Amino acid sequence: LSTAVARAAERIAAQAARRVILIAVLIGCSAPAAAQTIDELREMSIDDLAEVNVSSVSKSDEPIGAAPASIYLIGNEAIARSGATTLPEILRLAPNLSTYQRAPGSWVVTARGMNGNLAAQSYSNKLLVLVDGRTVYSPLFSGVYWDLPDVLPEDIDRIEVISGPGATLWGANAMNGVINIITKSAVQSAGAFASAQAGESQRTVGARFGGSIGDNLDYRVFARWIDEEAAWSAPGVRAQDGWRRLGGGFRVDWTPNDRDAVMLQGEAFSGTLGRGGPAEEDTEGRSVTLRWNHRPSTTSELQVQGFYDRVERDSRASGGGKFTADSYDLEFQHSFAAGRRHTVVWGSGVRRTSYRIDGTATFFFDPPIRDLFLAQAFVQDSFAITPKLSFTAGLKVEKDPYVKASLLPEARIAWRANATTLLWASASRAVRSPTPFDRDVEERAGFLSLSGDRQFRTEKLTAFELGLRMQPAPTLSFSLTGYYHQYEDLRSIELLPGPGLNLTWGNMLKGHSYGIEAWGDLRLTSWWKISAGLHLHEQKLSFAPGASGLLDQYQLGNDPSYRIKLHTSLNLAHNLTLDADFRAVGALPGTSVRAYREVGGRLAWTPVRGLTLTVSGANLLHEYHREYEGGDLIPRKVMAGVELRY
Amino acid sequence: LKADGRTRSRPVRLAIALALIALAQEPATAESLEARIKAAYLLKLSSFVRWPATVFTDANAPLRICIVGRSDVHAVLEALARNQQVAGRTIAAVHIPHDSAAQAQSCQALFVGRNSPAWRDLLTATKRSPVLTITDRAGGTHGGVIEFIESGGNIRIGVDRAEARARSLELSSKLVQIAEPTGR
Repeated sequence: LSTAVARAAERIAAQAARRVILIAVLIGCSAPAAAQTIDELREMSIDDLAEVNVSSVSKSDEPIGAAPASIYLIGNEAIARSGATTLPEILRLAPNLSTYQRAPGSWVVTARGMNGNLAAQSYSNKLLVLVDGRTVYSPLFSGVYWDLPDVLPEDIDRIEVISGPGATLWGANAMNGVINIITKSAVQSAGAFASAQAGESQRTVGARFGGSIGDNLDYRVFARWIDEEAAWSAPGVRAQDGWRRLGGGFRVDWTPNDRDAVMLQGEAFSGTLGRGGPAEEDTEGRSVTLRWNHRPSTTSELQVQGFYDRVERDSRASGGGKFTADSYDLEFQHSFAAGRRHTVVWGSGVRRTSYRIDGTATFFFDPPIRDLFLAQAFVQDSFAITPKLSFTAGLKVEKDPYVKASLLPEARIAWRANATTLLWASASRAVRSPTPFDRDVEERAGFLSLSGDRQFRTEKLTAFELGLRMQPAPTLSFSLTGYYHQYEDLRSIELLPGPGLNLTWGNMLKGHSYGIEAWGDLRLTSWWKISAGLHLHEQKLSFAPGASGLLDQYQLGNDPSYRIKLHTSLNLAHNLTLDADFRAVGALPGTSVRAYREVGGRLAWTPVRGLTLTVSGANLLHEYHREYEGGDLIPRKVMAGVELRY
Repeated sequence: LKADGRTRSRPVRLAIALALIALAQEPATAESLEARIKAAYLLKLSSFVRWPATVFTDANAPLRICIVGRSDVHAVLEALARNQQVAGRTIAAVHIPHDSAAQAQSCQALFVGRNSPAWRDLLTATKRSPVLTITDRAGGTHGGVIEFIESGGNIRIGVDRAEARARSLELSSKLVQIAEPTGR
């Protein structure tokens, strides 16, 4: 009976949501449209111009990028208008990413599958994530603790999301994709900004001040606090896993002359994550990044960057362990034009991570202290065979911790059929190298044990892609990518000889995945845009001969076969914007997580200059829904907010 | 679920019809609203500025508004400026390459809309010349007499009065009043 009631309620909610969207559409059509025509522009006074809200719709008609890869750009306005408050929520905007909220502050983000499996101790680990050039995936298991990185959404310039390998140019662990988060330069974030949002399930407060000293030095300082209430482990049962994070930092941009730019930024944070009981896990981190860009001429550029990053997680209070990791990274990159037809990029980098893990009797690392050393060098040449046809070849040598150097080649061909059509194809190789979690981990659970595999090798991927990007009309653009991934030496669970059930890792899984990533934007009017995204994914893994065959092919991920996104952005009036989004995600095979549909959105009103009032929501259709096996029931989120700018 | 699908189709059809109507009303300009607003600013600003008479070669010389790095803004300005006059002069919208400091000297207004390796050269090359420089923080340029500042989705302007004086440009009090003070 209760499911019938729930279904009826869901139907009513869905109907109401449809009506709201329809009403919004009707209001949108009758709303005074923003200035569009040449004549209207001529009529406007200089005061009128200042009142037009250009955040929209307008800026998102991104030019057809020249890059022959599956790249999706999340721009600053798309972030602001989405109402998303945390990084993983913002990443939901990318149609070529899959995001799953497991619990407050705990997320799984993947490109092209392999979303992991908690029961098999398999954590999603095939993405490279960068914040202003600093890697934020954990060197201990190659995955990302999404409660650690954070930025003030207002200060994000753009996020480049590349699905597919990007190892040659981007760096280690760019196996299934790269997420490159780029914040605004200090020049672009001048002035004071403050925002606060509050709702039953989450509260955030953020502030930034940017200014300049002298002629060519700009700075900003910022701080942000996030408080996410515990979600639900079952209907009516709180999971005691709330998340709080306080972070702050600065960025300084110094441009002493036309050829040089120096950036220094630093950040520190501290947070707590509930662990299902009264005791909490404490997190702490700090980082400093220094970057120098030198442009001796218009056709060459040199970049040198170094960063230091420290991360600490301490769950001893709840019976867990503690780890600290200090990373030091130095890299350079040089690009130049060689003749009229060649553009060469080459570079090199080194990274050292020193970690210490204070484990428990049932979960520890042997040895508990280690230095991981990574070195890489790459060269890439883009060759314009004809003005329309270009070929890019790249090669990277990467010396990863634990293993010998890997060779990572990449070839891409791009044909610009006309000014608005780009057809491209690529073949590339990428690896995920062994981590302490693959090599040194030790777990004990009664008669069961798991030991890291001292012979664990790199996981290997050969990827083939074919893509089309088109802008058939000024108001319409789309991207279509097909991919085929061939995996070898993926991690499996093997049996150790001897009494009891003693497990270890192995490299005995292989297989392939294929799929389609598609997205497009249609600007219906200057004040109304709709976008859609689709990701279809199939994955077939099998055991190599001699494998134990323990657990099934889903141990590396229970990936849904489809994911659909729709988004509409409306400028209802010059100071009123409305956004609504819809997503449908397929069931996670081999789990109890069913397919779901959800909607969210944001209404923003700017009554006077410098003041914006917002109402935003996410997961509105259901009181709660599950996104990941073993994860919480994720509740509906409704928030009211205020933004101040000066 | 199938029956549900049937009831759903009506609003969807209506939405599509409305979309098509909206599409038909859309003017042919492909440029973004942001580009259109900035172009309109460039046109309007010149009526709030008085240049020294010596900058014009003769009474019929057009007012040259030069644009660097933003062909879209240039396209809109060209359309806006057609058959328009400011203080009795026609307007010439000129798109100049970002590394041509020499050309910048012949402009009355110079909009450096995007960060490029040589953008500062354009400002220094016209230093102390009566050129109304306009920069765009969102585009990564700054230090012009006029600066576009985007905040909360609106484009406002900042004015550096000292820089205007150094370039012998007279700004109307109305302009100074509505703009935010910038510069050091």
